[in-house]
Amino acid sequence: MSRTVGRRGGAAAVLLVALATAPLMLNRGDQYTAGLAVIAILFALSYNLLLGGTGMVSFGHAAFYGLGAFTVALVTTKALGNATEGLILAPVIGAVGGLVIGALCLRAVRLYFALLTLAVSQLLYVVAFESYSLTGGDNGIHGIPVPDFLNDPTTSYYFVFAVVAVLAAVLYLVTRSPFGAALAGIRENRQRAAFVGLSVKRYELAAFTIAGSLAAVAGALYAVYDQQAYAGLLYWTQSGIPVIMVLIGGMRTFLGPAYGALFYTVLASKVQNTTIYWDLIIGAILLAVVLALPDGLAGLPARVRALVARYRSSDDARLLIADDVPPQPDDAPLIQMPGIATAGNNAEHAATPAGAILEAHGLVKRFGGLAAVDGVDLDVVRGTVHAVIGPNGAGKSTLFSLLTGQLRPDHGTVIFDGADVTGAPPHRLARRGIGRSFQTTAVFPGLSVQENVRLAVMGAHATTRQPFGTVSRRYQSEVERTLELVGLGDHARVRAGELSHGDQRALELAISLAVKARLLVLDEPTAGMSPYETRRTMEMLRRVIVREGMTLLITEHDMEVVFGVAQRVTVMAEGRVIAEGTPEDVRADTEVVRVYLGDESLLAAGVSR
Amino acid sequence: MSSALAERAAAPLADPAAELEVDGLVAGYGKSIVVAGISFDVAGREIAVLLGRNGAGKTTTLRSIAGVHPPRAGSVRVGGVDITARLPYQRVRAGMAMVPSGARAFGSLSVEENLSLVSGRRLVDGEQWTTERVYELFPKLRRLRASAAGSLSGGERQMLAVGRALMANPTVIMLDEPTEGLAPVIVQAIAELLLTLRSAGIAVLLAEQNHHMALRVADRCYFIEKGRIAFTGSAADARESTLVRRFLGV
Amino acid sequence: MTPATFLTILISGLSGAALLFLVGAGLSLVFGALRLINMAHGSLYMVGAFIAVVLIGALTSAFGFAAAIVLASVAVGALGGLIEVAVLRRLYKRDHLMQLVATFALILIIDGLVRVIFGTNFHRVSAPAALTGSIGIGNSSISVYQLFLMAVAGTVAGLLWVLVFRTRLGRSIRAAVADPELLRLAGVNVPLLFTTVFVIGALLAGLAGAVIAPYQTVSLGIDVDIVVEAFAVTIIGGLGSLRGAFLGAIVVGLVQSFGIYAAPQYAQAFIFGVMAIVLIVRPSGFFGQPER
Repeated sequence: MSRTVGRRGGAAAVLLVALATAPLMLNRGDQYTAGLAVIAILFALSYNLLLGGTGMVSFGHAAFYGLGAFTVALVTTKALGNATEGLILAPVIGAVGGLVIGALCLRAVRLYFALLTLAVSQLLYVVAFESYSLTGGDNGIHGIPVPDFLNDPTTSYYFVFAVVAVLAAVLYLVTRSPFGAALAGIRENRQRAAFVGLSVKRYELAAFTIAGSLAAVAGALYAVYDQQAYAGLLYWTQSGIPVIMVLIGGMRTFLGPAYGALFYTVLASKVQNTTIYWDLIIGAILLAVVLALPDGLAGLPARVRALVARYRSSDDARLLIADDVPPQPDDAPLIQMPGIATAGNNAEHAATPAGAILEAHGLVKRFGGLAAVDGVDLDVVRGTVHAVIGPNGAGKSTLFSLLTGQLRPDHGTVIFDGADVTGAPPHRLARRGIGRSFQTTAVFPGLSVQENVRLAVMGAHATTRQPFGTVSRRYQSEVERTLELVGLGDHARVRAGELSHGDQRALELAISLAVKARLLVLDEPTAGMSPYETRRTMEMLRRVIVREGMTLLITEHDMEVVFGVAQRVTVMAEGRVIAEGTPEDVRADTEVVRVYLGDESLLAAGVSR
Repeated sequence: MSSALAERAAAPLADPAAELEVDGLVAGYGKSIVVAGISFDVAGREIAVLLGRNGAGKTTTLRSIAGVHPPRAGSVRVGGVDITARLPYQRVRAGMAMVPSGARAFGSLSVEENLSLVSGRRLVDGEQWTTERVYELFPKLRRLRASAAGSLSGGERQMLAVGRALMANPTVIMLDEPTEGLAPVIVQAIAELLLTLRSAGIAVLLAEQNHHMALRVADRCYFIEKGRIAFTGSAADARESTLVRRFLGV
Repeated sequence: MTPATFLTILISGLSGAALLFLVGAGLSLVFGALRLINMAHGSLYMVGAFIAVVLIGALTSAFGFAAAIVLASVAVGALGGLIEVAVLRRLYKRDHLMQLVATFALILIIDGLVRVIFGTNFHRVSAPAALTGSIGIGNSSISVYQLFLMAVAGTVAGLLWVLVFRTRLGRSIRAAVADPELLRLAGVNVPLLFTTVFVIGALLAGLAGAVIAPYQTVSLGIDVDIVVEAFAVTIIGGLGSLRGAFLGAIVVGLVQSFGIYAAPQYAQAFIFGVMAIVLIVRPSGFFGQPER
């Protein structure tokens, strides 16, 4: 890991030196291009805060660039101030614009968000284009007056370089801060991020505002450097340029976009005016990158390695199954669960609702005309494992969604630890101590195992609001302890996406533990696991309950797990609770047997199910 | 169960040659393995049932055989022909039809359109399935032929789904939990339908949780647990309650 | 506003709508059946226009005009087929956002090819005498070509309706919109169907470009202008719905023409404003399906 950092740091230093010494080595024309390239670097870096940093695809970033350029243009030509003042005002205008446009656009998601950014920026373009008196219409504003010291091309270059270098450094620190880690979490797994306590929309809006502000500075620098501003800067295809730069250079590293910006600007200056092949070339490169190189040119070595690895692993599937370790002769669990063996203990536990950490009363949820959950009461006793079982369509997943804030109940209440939390959203419940894991594994795949857990810890401590300070060793002891507990201590630096299925589920559990969940809601924790992994997971769950005093609410289809881990079982069918008690009670209940195994008489006509 | 049904179920033996052969099937989602090496076959004029709980791997098995889920390993043969590398529509034209779970239909199309859009195995001679033949089998659908499939009840849509499968002139039909959520009367009808398919010479593979119906009509039974076949035998053997309870119960 | 003026603005709006329908219908059809968002749709329109310019210039008779339009459309349809097989097939599994970027790359590539093949000049070509000329109404007038555009769009709308609701292919298309996996299980060759649908969409775009060639200047850049308007049309009407494309085209066409009359500077801005509002309030538009 430190070798990549060293390599990247070295590359960054080379870049810095190269850009710093550029004017000394280039002729005037090339020096001018270099200045434009530096401005493009800032533009691309600002865009990557959205794309690579937070996972937001905006197709309207040029609007901010244009706003910044016109700020300078209008301030100077309307004699409201000089260029430097315009330059200082630009980020402010950009930030305000980012806040307003962001708040508007974030009301839509994914594809519609992207199309909305397109619509809004094109709207601003039309306004700019048509407001002839203000913006010069399709001519634009030319001959922007700049302070004397900026009339010299070399000084002008160094001025732009200095501003961009400083802002890039600040942006780098922000991406390395807890705030930046939060954005990375949102990018890796938006849904999961909410479940570690991040109010996702707020972070996205913050990222959008910062990105808009920096893009506006880039536009302002352009206006100063080229001494002009025109409506065409806001046209929608201009928003495609930062996309191209980031994708070509690589969105996974901080400086990737910078290399992309350099590549694009230099190529454009060499090719655009001399041949007619510019569009064709850049289009072909972009298409090749999207189809074959998702990490840009920077990701090429890794891709080659992956392709080679794939040719070698044709027997993967067989290996995965052969992984099954035969059962140990003594199959007794290493950790004894309190109250599982004896029925007597269970009666005590069960009878005290005062010991209930979660109480649900009369929950109802309808979809269309169908009641998926139809008047369900549930009491989960503190420190126990409570399983909810039932046939397909019984309403278990819906119930869990109601309890963890993903759905709001139509009727009924949810009380967690004495407080009414009915209808509260997931991130707020996460902060109160309810953690959830899903059937489809919900980790942050691009982050390392310890980064996954660290993000959760920071979320729990609300540290992620800090846009400063490095993240790398924070809460390290807590992170390590949590990893030990779930058996992932040796895998701390492995990329979460590369873990085996069982290890990913363990990581999920670790994330929930880190969020200081007191109640963990697990959706089929052993789904898709081999018998060996299932046993390991059961062992891990027992360990977690006993050592951390957590409460577990699970749904499972594997009866071995239910009987091996759960102390209380609730059986649901068709949205209602039909039985509740210890596993043994439930197994003997005739109604439960009927629901699972059906009824002979059901085969005859006329009997309702 | 009605005695008529019992009689029909006890009827003819399967054709010796296996129509559907599945060997060493491995499949999963992302990093998880849900089907961990499954092998079995189904002969023509035979009803085989895969019994198991939710999450046992029945649906993934069927979907992999049908070609809509990519397997990690294994092979599938229909009528002796290896179709492992073929696209779903090619498998249909080779004689394999699948009725997925959930009584799915093309809701915005009429019943007639649902049936007539199928493009299945071409028969040089003999009996093609036509919409007329399907309506004979399902008279209720005839009355509904111009109605949008989305307006049909669950049972009617299931009938339509089977009708669609038949329009492909299959030699193998796979049904994923065809009785789920349906009223007992319809379950009965489906049981009889399966027997009709069998007597038409088709190999029937059923994935079910409803073992009562399934074990009454099936000839052979496979219990699936955690992605593997844990028991193979005749349906009669499987009807012992301990096995059923072990693999399907609580 | 006099009745005569009203009529001319109305016709102007409807003829604009006619063009937008031709472009939007293809975009919507492709999104509905293939679930693919194609930014390069406008570029196909542009190619149609350029080819039409060449062909109309070459085939000078009145019959030649019709032939030119048809040939241009077919050529673009064929180009669409090529693009689908070579590039788009790899995009179906990717998320919509990457489809946006990849098809944006296609815009650049097609632009580059047009630049190389046809050059960068503006092109003008005129329609046959029968279609030029105007009809006076009060103090203003409408042009015959506007009526021609409306006739073409109306005919195409009718033909599309017949295709989608009365043919075997249309049945498969509607089924693909509803449940493409189930369609595979029904033995339909879905990959071929997808190619066919895209060819139809490209043909419509090419047709739009071809019929507009005599009416507006043909140059590089008309692709990016039209595609954002087409997006506005399909978003407002509902992505994936032909009815939606029809309605959306009329809304946008009329807003544009009445907007130009009322507030000439900001008429275009209204369109994007409405598009933005629809995306916020009801992203699936009037008739569209929610995102899958």
